[in-house]
Amino acid sequence: MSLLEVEDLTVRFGDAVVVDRLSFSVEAGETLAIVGESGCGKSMTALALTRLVAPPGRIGGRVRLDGLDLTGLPEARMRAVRGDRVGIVFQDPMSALNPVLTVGEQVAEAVRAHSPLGARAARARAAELLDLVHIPDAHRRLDDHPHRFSGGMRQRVAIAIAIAANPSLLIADEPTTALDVTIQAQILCLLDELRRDLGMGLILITHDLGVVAETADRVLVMYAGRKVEEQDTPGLFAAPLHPYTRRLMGAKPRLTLGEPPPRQRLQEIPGLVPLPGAIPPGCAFAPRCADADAGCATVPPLQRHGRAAVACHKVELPAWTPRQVPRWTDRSQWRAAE
Amino acid sequence: MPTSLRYVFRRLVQALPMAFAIVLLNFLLLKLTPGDLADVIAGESGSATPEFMENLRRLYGLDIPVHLQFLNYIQGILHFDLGYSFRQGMPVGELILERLPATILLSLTAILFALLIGVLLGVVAARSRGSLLDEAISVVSTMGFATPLFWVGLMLIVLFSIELRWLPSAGMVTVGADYRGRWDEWLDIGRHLVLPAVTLSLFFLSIYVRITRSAMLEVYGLDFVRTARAKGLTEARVVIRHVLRNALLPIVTVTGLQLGAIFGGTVVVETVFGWPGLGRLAQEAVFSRDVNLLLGIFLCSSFIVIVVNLAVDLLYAALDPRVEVRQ
Ligand SMILES: Nc1ncnc2c1ncn2[C@@H]1O[C@H](COP(=O)(O)OP(=O)(O)O)[C@@H](O)[C@H]1O
Ligand code: SF4
Ligand SMILES: [Mg+2]
Repeated sequence: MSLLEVEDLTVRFGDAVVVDRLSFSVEAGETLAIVGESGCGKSMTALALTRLVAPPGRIGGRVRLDGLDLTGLPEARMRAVRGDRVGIVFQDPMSALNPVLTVGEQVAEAVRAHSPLGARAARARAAELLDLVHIPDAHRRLDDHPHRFSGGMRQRVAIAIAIAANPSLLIADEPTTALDVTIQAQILCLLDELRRDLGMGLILITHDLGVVAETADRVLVMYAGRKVEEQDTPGLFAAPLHPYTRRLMGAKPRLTLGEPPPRQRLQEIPGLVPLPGAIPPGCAFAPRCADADAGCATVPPLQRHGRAAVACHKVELPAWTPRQVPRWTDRSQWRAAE
Repeated sequence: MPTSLRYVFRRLVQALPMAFAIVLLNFLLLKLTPGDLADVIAGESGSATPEFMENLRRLYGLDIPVHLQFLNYIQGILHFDLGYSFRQGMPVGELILERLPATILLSLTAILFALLIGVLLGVVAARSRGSLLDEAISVVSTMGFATPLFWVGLMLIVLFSIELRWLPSAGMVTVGADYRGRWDEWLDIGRHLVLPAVTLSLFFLSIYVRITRSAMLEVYGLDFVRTARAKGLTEARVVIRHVLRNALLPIVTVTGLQLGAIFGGTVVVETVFGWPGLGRLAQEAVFSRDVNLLLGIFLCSSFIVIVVNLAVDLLYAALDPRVEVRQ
């Protein structure tokens, strides 16, 4: 049984379907990256997992965490799960912290929400947590307000809050998008380190394929609220299957045998992600797809093979199987090569 | 903390030009009213010779150049010498000091009541946004804002004093009451305070309802509220500690801005309810054309507004840790 099992997760605002029957799973200690352009429904997916979608949004489907079925769980019991078994880190650290409370108060509050600790013990634990996310001088900084911290440091505080109760799953929604390039790597390192040390499953939502290559075990590619591709990271970089994924990476991946794949940002693709409620019938990517033809007028079914999945009429699974992945795409070897 | 001390000092210094401007304005008004003090006294006494007037002018320093008169005026103010009310036969300063406590009691009670009820209703309205309850609160608070205070006051008197006979309608104490101790007296004042305080608060209450509602809704949409929810906090804790705590900032600001208006309100309410405060004194001064007294009250209330605004600013700085940085 996986740590997190998601089945047909759906988020709708009225008639607009923002997340469409999304299914995936995350193992303990594993990193799943969710990629896709802005507006593809990545954040909504993250919020829907813990039922934090603001009204009038409605959530459907099943979510099972640690064997506990979150579907239909009463709100009070859902609160006991939030922050306790699942921690979330949001995109913009500048606004994710309450400006009028001290950092110590905000971390301690997360601690006390799920433990019987008293104020003093929670404060000590808050200092410990700030130390764990490598904030220098953690004890002294407890009484500072967020505006005294840089963006990177604030994101560390937000991470400390998210892991305050030792969650088994950490969701990070574009945790580095709002940060300087130099800081981005540090935050990713920290997340990876915490995942390893605390044995958490990590869902990393990102724009950045470099980030994916570096940290993710598996990748889920979303387009217009749907899963269009899922693969192990090595497989994805070796042979992206869906035309959308290929476009994201640049038309032909410039991979040379024996070398790690180049770090690259998502490519700009001409055209726009369709708005929920205005998603074209058939394949949602068709208007922007170079391979589209009359056969794409129906919604392509999600084909699965092993742990790979793709939703495109022009791709046949298993045209490719994990065994065919060249040896150099083993992640441990990229690291070694660097 | 030295930074906050420096902030206090800076705000104090910033308030000085304002205070000076008010003193100057007051002096100019005094000079611009037709007839000077000598004319007033002469008018009071019924007849006066030119020499008598001349002596009076010399006695009150009215024969020297205007800028020197202004310096004298400032010096007088520094000693709380605000001139003499010939109508009331008392120094203006003493008259004001005598009436000030009643007005402070009334205003404070009204503001606290308005804050308490207004913030509560604003929170309820924001929480039930778009519902019938929200609409009802909005309609009632708009009515409170638009209805003239004196009319509300009179209606309350008709209902609670004349019809129901629950509360007294005028004054601050029962005339000729024989109190059996402190408590008795306070209780009597409290009973007299209810109607005027509620009347005065209605105007502010509706402002607090709107400000609280809109501030709450604004804060609700901010990211840190989502962070708070993601911690698994109860909704009550999210609302009070995160949303309301931030929504308080605009509420405090508006309170500061409304303090000037409350003096205007006390003139009406104190007159309707015969409340022996500064507002009614001002009304008396207007109707008896007591320029000295009126300007004295104007000066005093302006200073009180400045001081209270300063206090509100400091309160704001205490509530919002970002203030020191922004400056
Ligand atoms: N409150 C809302 N009402 C209607 N649509 C919304 C609302 N919030 C977000 N959406 C829509 O949901 C879609 C997915 O948004 P989001 O999950 O934030 O995308 P991503 O995180 O991938 O950039 C967007 O097209 C957005 O317009
Ligand atoms: S189904 Fe057709 S339009 Fe859609 S991605 Fe595949 S080729 Fe392109
Ligand atoms: Mg997003």
